[in-house]
Amino acid sequence: MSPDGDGRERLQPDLLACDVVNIALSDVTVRFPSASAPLFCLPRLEIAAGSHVLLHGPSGHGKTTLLHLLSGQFLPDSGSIRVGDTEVTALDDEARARFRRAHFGLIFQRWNLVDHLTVLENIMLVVPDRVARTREAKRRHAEVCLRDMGLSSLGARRAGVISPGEQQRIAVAKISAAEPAIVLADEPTSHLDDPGAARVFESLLKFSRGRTLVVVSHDPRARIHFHDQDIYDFSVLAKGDWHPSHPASGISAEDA
Amino acid sequence: MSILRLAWLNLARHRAATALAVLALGLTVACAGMLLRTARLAESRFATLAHAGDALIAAKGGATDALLGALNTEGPYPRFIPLRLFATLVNETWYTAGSRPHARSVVPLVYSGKLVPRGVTAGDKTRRAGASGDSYRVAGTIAAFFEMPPPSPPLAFAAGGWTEVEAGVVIGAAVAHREGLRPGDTVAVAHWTADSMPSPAQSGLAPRPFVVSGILAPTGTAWDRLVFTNLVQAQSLIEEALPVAGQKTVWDSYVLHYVIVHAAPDVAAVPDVPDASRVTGRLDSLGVLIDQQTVTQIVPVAETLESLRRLTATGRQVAALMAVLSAMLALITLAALMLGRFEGLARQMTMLEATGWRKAELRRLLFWEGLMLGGAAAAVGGALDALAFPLVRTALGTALPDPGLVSSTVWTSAPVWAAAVVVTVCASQGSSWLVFRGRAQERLRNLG
Repeated sequence: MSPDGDGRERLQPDLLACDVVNIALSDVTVRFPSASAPLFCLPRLEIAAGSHVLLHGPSGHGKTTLLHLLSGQFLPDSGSIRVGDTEVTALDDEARARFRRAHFGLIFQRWNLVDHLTVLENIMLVVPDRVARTREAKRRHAEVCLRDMGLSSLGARRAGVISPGEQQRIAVAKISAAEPAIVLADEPTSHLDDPGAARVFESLLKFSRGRTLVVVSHDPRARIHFHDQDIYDFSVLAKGDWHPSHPASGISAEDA
Repeated sequence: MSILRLAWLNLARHRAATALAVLALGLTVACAGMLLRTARLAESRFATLAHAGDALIAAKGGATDALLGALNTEGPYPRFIPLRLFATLVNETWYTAGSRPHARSVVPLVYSGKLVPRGVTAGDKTRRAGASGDSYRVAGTIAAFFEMPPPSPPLAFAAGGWTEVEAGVVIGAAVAHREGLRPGDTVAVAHWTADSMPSPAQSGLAPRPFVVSGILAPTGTAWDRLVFTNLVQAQSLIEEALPVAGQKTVWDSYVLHYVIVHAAPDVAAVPDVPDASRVTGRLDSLGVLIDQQTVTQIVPVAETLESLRRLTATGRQVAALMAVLSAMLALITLAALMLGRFEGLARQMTMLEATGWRKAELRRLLFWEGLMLGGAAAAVGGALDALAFPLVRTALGTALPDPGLVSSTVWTSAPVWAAAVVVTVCASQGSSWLVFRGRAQERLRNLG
């Protein structure tokens, strides 16, 4: 991956300097252009640093959109999003991209990899300069990440020809290579069979130890990998009338 | 991984698609380049055409061929006309007492040999002396050639001068420059009386040595590419060559190819009309005489040149139209190519953007892809152009100037290559607009 420039160097120390790198949303409203009613309103939402959270709920309520908001892919129609000391909603497009690359790791349902690149090249693509500067150093770092996930044998293969389960595990290895503070995963197991889904969650939770992890999924198999107190129904959250039972463990929401 | 390397991998890992795209674009570039070179060559004919005389007398046939043969020293070996006709005109011009002559000046021209380039021996088959394009034509003429009255521009000597002594030649400026000749140098002249003239090695007719007596100052016309000798020497060369070439004429070696005529003003007939009309009047009456009573024809220079301009202008317009069509084809090919790539690119771009790549970086990625595609297409197009243009030129024959007289390098097509690269890069940036035009939420749906 190419150098981020000065912006990232400035943003990252701010984030790491926080005692608690938490995510806080307040009065956030999101609506689609064609829709009259908002997709969801979140009066207040906080996710504590280091917590592992599963947001579940039926499709179409905005779980994925929330992940995109958290990572600054786009801005809400109103409200504020803070990550650590950084007001994400105050950043412009370029700064949000730098911020995202420096601090977030994202896993999508599919298409986490560039099909025509090898697995190793896909991982090298996201190794930031703060982790390894030269091409050779990035290669070595990528190889270590693959080895840690037990995927060394796939390094030379094209991403497009390996199974969906392996692709998702490689997506986790890819995230680990970037060493982000916050990991966001959007339905990471929706296309996988049971053993595949289990392996992906094991990899994800193993890597995310000590990092903030937010998973959105309506896959019931995801629940067994999270403590009950870390599982939240997004449809309730989005109504704005949800009261946290375990705010200290990870997530809190309350009426403004 | 650098952006440049990712761009390279995006192309290299889709080898078949990239190769087809480069080939399609390369073919378009080659076609546009060859059209450009053809148009430039057609134009160059007028740039080098010498200005001499009001009319030419030549063997009956195409007026345009006569004009180009005499004043642009190109085309196939011309048919002979009798030297006697020139003598008659000289008599009428210079020695007619009491009556009005048709011409104020008549100058003969006869091609009789070709200069053997330095370093080429008679047996050298790779650069056959006497073959078209390998050497410069040697024309026999008289001293009056260098003192032709207006409208012919004056000719000046850069060094030395004209000589009627045996085996002397005056060298055109381009020939002297190319061959590094100075007065006093000796040059070899091979016999040339037919396009199918056997080489000196085959005929046993050794090239004859000539001494350079003068170098013409540059004129920027076909005269710069010509070597001049006197009529006696020219006829001697022809006399030796005719039996070898299997040719026979009813006039033996007393032949010419052209007579350059400067018409006398028709003062008595229409004293008040402008000069051009008066000249035309005399040419008309001379034309009647020549056309009806001799085996030759009179070719009015200005009229024929205008006809040639009209003809080639049509050709140039067609070439320009074809070039525009080729360019449009290139653009459509390019648009189809880039849009085809878009489907594959959109997901990759969205994924990279979602993981923190800035739009400027993604545009740079597409820029490099476009540059590499355009560069490869330009290289392939240039190579095809270089290989195919000689064949195209041969196929077009006398529609274009002789390759030996006006060369055309593949670099003439360089503007087309540059345009191909620019268009490809612009098209790649167009696809980035397609990628980024929607809202981020919409784009992210592609990732499931």
